Order: sequence, then C-alpha cells, then structure tokens
Amino acid sequence: MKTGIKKIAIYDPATGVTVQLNKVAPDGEFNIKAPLAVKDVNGGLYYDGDESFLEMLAYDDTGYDQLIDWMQARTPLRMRALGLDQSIFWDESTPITVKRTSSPAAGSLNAFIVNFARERGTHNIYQSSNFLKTLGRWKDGDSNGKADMLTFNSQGGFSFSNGVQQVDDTGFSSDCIITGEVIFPVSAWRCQFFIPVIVAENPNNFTGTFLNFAGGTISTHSAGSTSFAVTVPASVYKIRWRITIDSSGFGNLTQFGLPYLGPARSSYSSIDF
Amino acid sequence: MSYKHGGIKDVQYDTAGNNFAAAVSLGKPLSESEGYTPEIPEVENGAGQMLYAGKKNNGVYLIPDLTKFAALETIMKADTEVDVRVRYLDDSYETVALATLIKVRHVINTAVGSRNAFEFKFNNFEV
Repeated sequence: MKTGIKKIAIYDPATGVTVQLNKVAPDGEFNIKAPLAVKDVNGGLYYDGDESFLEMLAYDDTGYDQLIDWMQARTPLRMRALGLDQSIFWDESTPITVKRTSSPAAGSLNAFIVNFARERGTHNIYQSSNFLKTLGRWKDGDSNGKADMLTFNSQGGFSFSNGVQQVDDTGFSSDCIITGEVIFPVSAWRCQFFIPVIVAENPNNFTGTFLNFAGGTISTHSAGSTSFAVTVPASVYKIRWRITIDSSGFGNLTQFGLPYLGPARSSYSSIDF
Repeated sequence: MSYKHGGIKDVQYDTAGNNFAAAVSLGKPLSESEGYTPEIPEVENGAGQMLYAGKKNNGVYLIPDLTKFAALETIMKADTEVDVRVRYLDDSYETVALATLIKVRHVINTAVGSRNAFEFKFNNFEV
C-alpha cells in the first residue's frame, strides 16, 4: 500500500456540486479513524469512538470561492481523494474550513488549505486500493451465496466459496445482472475495470459506466475483455462496474474472483480484501 | 520491453490517456542527455529488508529540434499531463511515463562549435 494522493473531489451530496483539486501538495495530513479511548481503572483503553481529520493543501487556481461559500454556509460535504495506490472515501457529511496561504517571494506557488474534521461515533471513512471494497468485503457474510460487496438482480444459482463467486444461470428466465457502484466524482484519470474470471461465457458482457449526479449515463464502456482502462469523463458522479450473465442457453457457468474498480495498475496481486 | 543496446532515436509524447494515437515526435535527443533514470524509494521493515514503495520516473532529454519547444511550453504552463515514450535503435518503443507533467527550458550556448537545444524534463510517480 503506497502513499500519494493525486486528485481530491469535495462535493455536496445534496446537490452533486463538486470542487475538484488537481494540484494537491505533498504537505498535508491525513488521520483516518484514529481510536479515541478512555481508561479503565487498570489503565486499559476502551474504544470511545473515532477521530478523523484531513488537512489538504492545494495549488489549484479554481475552486476556492465555492469552498469559501460552503464554509460560511456550514454546508455538510463529503470528499474523495484519488490515490496513486489507495484512495480515500470520506462518507461523513462534514463542514469544512478553508484558508489561503501566500508568499511574497518568487519561485513558489500560492495555495489554500482545506480541513475536514470529525470526532466521536464510528466513521464511514475508508481507505482502499479497490473502490468496490468500500461497499463491503469480498465475502458472503449472510451465507446467501452472493458476495456482500456486489448487487445481484436475481435469486438462486449462486454460490460463494474460497473467494470465488459462482453463478449458474440454468433456469434463469432473464439476464442476471451483477453490479458494484460507487460515488466518485473525480474526473480525468485512468479508471481500471477488472474482473479475474475463472470460467465465463462472454467477456463482452462486462461493462463500466460513468453516471452523473442525476443517475444519467455519461458513457458506457466494454472492451470484450475482462480488464480495460478508460479515462474518466467530466461531470462524473458515480462509477458502475457491471457483469451480465445472459439467460440465453442453459447450464452456463460463470466464476470470478475479487473484482477491481480503481486506478489503473500494473499488478492486482496486492489488492486488499 | 527494454532493448539491450543503448541508444534512443526518438522521444515522443501525447496527451495522457490517448495511447500515443497522436504521438508527437521530438526527434533524436543529444547524447549528453541525462536520459531516463527512475528512482525506487525504499522503506525498511523490522527485518532490515527494503520494501518497495513505488517508482519515481525521472527523465531529462536535450532536444535539438527547437521547433518543438513552443508547443511543449504551452503544455507546461497549462499543467497538462502527457504520456512519454522512447524509441530504441531497433524501432521498438517503451513507455517511460504516463500522465506526467513536463518542464521545458531553452538553453542558449555562448560558445561556437555546439548545438542549442531545449531541455525536456518529466517526473512522476507510479506504484
């Protein structure tokens, strides 16, 4: 798990309005879900909620005015940070503070500093290489034969064992559609869609879709392959990973391992479960 | 895949994510160019082993074709990201940086007997 944040999107979940910061400085501090604690009589520590804060410095020329408006209106905001490896999903609606930094000397860049902070309770803040992991772990916790992190539109014909999702479409009356969808309003980066398929009927049924705030499709991509990268378009709000097990024919079996949605990578062996 | 013999006959760039569909050739760089010299940061674990923490792609090429400078200067000032690749003597290509920012500067030599060139520099990090 490597460090490095490339872009940050701060957005209003009520309206979809987004400020994207593309010139994130290396100076900044992230502290995600640090445990607060109280001592017992023996000095042991009891978990007493989370503490999370982000301080990010950006050299961007735009976005400052909108951030100031949000700060003064105390608008609850959320944040996504696109990492070189791990990305951060700040899913707690939180007010922010913003301030400028300037220097009289030439040869540097003026910047502004944005702060998110939250204490107490458990926080819906995640850090992961694989965006789909923010939906849950690659497991079948409720023993229904379906991986918890994905959404299925059909019943029956599923099993999950040893990290492999199996779909048998024998008897399906309509296509089985399996999706994973995340909110990630960051544009202009290479997004990789990947499904490690063991047995499949048709890789053309694997698609990636970019959606706007209203849920409308901006673009859909399929490469006839189980792994492809696409440049994320402007105005994106959500990204959807989707595989369709079509009902034509009988006894078609599909098996796949942990799917991946996130920055394009040279290797998927280090994706955290 | 890297070619075993040294020598670069072309440096090319294109808008990031375009798969070099509209690659712009900068031509042969001067031999005194620093070239492509990546760095591998290391983090030591408790066993004294060095863990891989990513790769920093560094490249500096001296390009004698001064007609290519203006377009690159525009890209630099706009903070536009580009992909960069080099072409070996056997005409194979190797991509050396994806979605990188560039810096260009025009060096003017005072003494006779040399060629003016501009420096094409890129740095980015990949994991």
